[in-house]
Amino acid sequence: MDEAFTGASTTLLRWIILFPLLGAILNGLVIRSKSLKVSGIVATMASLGAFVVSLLVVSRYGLLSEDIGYITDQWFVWFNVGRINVPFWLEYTPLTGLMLLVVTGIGALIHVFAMGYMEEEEAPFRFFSYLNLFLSAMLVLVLSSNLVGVFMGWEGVGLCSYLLIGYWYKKDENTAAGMKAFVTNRIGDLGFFVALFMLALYANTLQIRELLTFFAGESSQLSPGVVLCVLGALFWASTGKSAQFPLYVWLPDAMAGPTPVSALIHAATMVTSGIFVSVRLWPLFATQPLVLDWMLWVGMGTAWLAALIALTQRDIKKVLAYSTVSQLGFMFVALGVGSPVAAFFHVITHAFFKALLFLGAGSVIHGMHHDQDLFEMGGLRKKMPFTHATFLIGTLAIIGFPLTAGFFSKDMILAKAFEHGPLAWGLLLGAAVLTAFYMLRAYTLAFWGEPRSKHASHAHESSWLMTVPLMALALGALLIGFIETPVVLLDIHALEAAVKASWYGSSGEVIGHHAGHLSHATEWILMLVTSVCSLSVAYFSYKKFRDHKTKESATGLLADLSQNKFYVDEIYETLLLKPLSFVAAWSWKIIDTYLINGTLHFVRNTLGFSGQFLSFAHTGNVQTYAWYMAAASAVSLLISWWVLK
Amino acid sequence: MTTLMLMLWPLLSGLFLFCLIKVPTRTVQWVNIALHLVWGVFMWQSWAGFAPDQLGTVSWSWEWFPSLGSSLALGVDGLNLPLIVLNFILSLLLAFYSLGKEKLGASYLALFSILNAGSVGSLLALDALAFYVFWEFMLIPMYFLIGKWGSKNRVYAALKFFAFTMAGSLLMLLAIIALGTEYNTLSWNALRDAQIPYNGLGGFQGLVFLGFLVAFAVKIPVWPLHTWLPDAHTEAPTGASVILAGVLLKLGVYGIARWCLALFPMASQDVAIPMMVLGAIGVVVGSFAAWKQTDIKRMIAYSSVAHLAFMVLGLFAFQEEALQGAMFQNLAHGLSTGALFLIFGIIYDRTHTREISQYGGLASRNGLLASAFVFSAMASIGLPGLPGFVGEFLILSGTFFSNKTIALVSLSGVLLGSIYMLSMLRKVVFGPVGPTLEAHEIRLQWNEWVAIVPLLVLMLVLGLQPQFIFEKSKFAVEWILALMTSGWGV
Repeated sequence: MDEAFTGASTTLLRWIILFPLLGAILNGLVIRSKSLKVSGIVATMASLGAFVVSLLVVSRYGLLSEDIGYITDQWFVWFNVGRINVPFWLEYTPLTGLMLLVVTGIGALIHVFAMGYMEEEEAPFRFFSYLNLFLSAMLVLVLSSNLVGVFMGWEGVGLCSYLLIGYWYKKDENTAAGMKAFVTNRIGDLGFFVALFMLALYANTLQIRELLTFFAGESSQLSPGVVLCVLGALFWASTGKSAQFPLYVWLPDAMAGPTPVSALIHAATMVTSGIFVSVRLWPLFATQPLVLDWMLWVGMGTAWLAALIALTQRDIKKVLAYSTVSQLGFMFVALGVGSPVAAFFHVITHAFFKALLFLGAGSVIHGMHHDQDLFEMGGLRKKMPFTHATFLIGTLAIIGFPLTAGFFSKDMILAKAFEHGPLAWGLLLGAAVLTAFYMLRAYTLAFWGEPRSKHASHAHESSWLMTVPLMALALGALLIGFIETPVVLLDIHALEAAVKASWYGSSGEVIGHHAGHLSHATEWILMLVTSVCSLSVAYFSYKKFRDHKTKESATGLLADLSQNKFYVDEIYETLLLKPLSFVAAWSWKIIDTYLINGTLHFVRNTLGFSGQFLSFAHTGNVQTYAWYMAAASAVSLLISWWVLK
Repeated sequence: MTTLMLMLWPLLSGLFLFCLIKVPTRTVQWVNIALHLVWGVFMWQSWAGFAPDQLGTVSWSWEWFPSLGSSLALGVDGLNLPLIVLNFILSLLLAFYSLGKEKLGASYLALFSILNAGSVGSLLALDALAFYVFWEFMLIPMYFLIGKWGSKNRVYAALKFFAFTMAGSLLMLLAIIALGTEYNTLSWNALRDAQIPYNGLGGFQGLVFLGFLVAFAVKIPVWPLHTWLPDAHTEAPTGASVILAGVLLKLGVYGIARWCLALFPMASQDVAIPMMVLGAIGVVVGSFAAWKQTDIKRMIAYSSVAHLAFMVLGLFAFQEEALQGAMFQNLAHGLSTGALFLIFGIIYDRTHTREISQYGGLASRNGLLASAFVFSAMASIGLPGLPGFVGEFLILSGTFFSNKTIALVSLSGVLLGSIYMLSMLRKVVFGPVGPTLEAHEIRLQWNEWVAIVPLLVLMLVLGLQPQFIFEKSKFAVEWILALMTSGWGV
């Protein structure tokens, strides 16, 4: 590696990965205990271990300093062939530090929650083993200093997602959902492959630090066309993992998995890895305004599409799933308007409030005996006070209620969008308003009014194993926003400093983009407009659904489109999957069966060289065979000897 | 001497086992394991004594046809050693697998050992005639293994296997005779040093090269010469399927590297693009076919067609990454597909059906075996951390360096692989318990676990620490590639 990089070497980083990995091995292969307590405690301790080491690392190396040097854990050489040089090294940057804390911290809380949620399982060790394995794969993704290592984590979390979505494998639809997730992600991963090939060929390195040091900025030796292809391909990969149009379709189906999985993988961590990688490689992205435009409009389209679908969903987890897709769209908009800080800020706040909302939904589902239909709920606020209070906090955070976490991050994205242009801002505000509507709808339908079913009237509050993580996350959803606040309000910029310290000296300024600073008055007005719009729509939604009685879905053209998810799955099925399947079947039958084998059989029959021909030899007596063999070998050897000598 | 024993020991073991036909099966099976362990000592000696900067060093030789300039010359180098060891490992594990199976008695084990002698012999041979003898020699035991121990359609499959390979080999024989008469030597080193002049594919080098190439292309098999493989795999008994996928197909890849690229570099370059196109077609069409199979073994067989097509790309991209990747993928595919055939074979022993639709719910019936099956499937579709990824990634990047279009077309195999493999897992491993598994208990004997577990461990080792393999083959690969860039100048 390059000698020019100075810095510390540490073996601490690998333990962040090893703790959950050991937990997975212990639970999955060694202990295999059917006791929920044993497997749950092992897994929770493993994730707590990773959290503690992460804390240690972060406190040792800090988050804010500009020049923290090159902190690596030079673990082992994976492979090194020709131009493909892949050391399996881990690297600490402030950005990774933050992500580590989010992943392991929220991960540990969700493990605790799962110990309450999975109480009816016969053999939960498999669940906890997968969950730990997921954590370690995610940490590989976060920590790896090499893009191939990142890809290992990237595919590894995909595998765990597949296994966990299909965790209740006895039902075919769960396995089908897992498979859909894996295959859709692989469509995206083809882009990751292409990016790796191009970088290996043209940049001659796959180490992130070298890529950013040598190839970011105006002086890059890479041609703009190459960078465009690499980043376009990486963005394509991100649309898979981070569920953007056109590859978002797997995420709603992924709700087939247990709810803690939805909270951890399909809300807080894995689905944000596309954004995380983009922020990590930001100085490269900053050189390609075209790719940023793609991100902006794909993200905007996804934010709207998913929000429109979320308006009418009846399944509480489906509402949250589409909301996740929509919020991920917000993050891509933030990247698109040139603000990786805002994007990563929303990654962090979203991790808290969406994990909170999912776990709250899990608690509700648990209390409702696994009924997930919002129209069957109602009146739960009295039966489940803790769940209600924390879910309310999550809802307020996601709609951007002033001074909650979501308020700060969403406000930052909107402000940056406004700087970019009024159109982007206006559209994004629309999506934010839709969020307020559907979230208040879900919250009100579940917790207000009168119980609309037997399950709802007999619902019960969940155990402390589930409510304590809820409260911890609620605290985060309230307070985590204060790590980055507007100039007009406290003026804290801890996150910005941390993110910018992670680009090895590159400023991350978008080429040709001159950030005009908003005046204080404009900032106040934007904040006011956003809050007033969101909150009034939220109140309207609350009033509308407060005394909801009917269990019938709404009708009408738009409602039908929304309920049926704009028929996107059906369109893919008809336009892509069926034709491909047809071509596959056809190509096999025509080519192999008719063309190749048909010709062969024709030749054989013409020559009279049929299966009968050699069957005289087929006596079934092995000693005869042995004799044939020996005799034939001897004779042929003798003949050739005699001929050639 | 050790080198000779690598080949001779299984031959002697085979002849010895033939004499034990009256001895109780279980005793013979233990004897077979013991014989394997002795073979393992020779393996260990070769592995430990390996010098990395060797290519074509003859360590044992006997001049058997002086008039042709041919001798039985054997040697270990970076190209063949990993495959020889893989052959040994698979065979040893199969020896454990066969324990307690009444049908797999002395004659079966003897044929198996003789097959090993043939495959190791052709790997070791550094003389064209010796290579040819071993190459053909493998057909005989394989023919009987499929024809006698196979399932319903075995006679058709055995004959098809025999006819295809024979047809290919005849051309190779012609090429060898031509070489012998022209150069008066058949030694690999001498032919290499002779620097056979090249004047087009229709010239001497070109024609001889094509003779070799066709034989290897049938064996690999390269599309469209592949249709013998699904039949052979499907009908073959488990052990034969494992060795077929794990070793015999790999001989085609190895053969191209040793006998085509190294001896006929210019001709190889002239067919590079057509061969890579066939490789890309093989990846796509093979994956399509695998997706549409209703028979598990046939599906795995087609997946082999697709994976071996990747290796064809790797051979003809003429990039260090790609060629190393192809040699490595030989091992990776041998382990993962070997494991898939072995695990399914163990299930088949109990259920006697290969129809995917009859399965479902393996995870409910035997969780550990299901995990092993999923693990092997993941290795097969190239999940990072398992060896298939390293091989495919290197092959595809090398191919990308030399031809972007072909690489991008072949990249679709990564996606299609996940489609056919996961469809199969969905229908076999997950879901409600199907009729077959409802009717049969799947409980493994200890020796079956002994056969499976080392494969899984090896996959992890090669997936995470592949470098020691690359160090072994580095010298040979670099030498071959130097030939490609500078022709006979080296």
